Amino acid sequence: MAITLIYSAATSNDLSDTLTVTEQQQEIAGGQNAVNAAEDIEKNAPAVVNLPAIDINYRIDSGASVKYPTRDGAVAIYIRATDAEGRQAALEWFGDNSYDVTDYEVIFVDAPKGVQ
Amino acid sequence: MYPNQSNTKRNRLIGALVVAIFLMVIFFFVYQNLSVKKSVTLTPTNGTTIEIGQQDEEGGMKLEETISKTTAQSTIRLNPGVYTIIFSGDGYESQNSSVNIQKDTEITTPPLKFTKARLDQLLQKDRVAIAESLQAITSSGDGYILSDEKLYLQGDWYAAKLVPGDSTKYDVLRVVAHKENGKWTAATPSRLVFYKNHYPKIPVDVLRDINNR
Repeated sequence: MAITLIYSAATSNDLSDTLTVTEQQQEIAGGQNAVNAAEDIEKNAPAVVNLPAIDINYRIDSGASVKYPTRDGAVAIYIRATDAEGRQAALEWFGDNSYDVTDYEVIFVDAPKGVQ
Repeated sequence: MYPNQSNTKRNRLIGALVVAIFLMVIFFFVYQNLSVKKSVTLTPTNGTTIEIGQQDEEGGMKLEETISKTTAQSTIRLNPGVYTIIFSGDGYESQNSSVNIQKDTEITTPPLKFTKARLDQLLQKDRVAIAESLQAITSSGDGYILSDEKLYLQGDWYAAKLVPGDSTKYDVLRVVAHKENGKWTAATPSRLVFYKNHYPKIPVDVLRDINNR
């Protein structure tokens, strides 16, 4: 995308040059925002860097936060496990990797059985 | 001039000097005590003890040397600086704190955690009331029983696992209850795990403990 914009600047008139530079700046700013958001996620939810975690009984992914859908850097943990044993094993993955599950918004894709 | 007169004069001069030095020393101590030292009022509550002293050399929260230890309200004067305070009491877990005294200060015992023995004793006493408050959760569906029960802090927070009759079919869940105005109520629904930001009113240490049991 950035390469296309630079090429346009070289072949267009003054006005489009100005416009293209602005777009390029936006691209840079957007890229910086993305870097900042990624840094926020790593800071707030360091387990995310080790995901996905895939086991025979479960799969753990990161995804959009339900609690904070518009907050930068907010992320939720999505656990897919079809039985109680898999869900328990997925929760143990956090402790095994020195993370505390209390710090994470955990969403069970397959609803646990017995939840009130 | 006679030699005796000269000696008398000299003695008077020395005496005046001694008195002046003595007054200066007195003035220095009074000035330091009133102007430099700060007033620190210690107010132990609920039968607790407050001990204040110099910090250890490593700047940690260990007590190097006790300056004052009291079970009743008292006021002392201290030079500005960082001090270690130990709050303790029968049935309470001791708590060490660090305080930077730069002005007149009042130190009161914070809410101390009960000891494990005291919490266990309270749990025996409150177990029936807690179980009744959680009956809507435990009696529904799959015949859950409360397991790994524990009280926290001042015995006003409770958490337990909910173990199903058939753990191959149903999940082991968790629940937290709170005692307010002498009455226990469920503070959470039953869940597999608790996210701290979903329950901001529950002390995070309680959530961490039950999540990791």
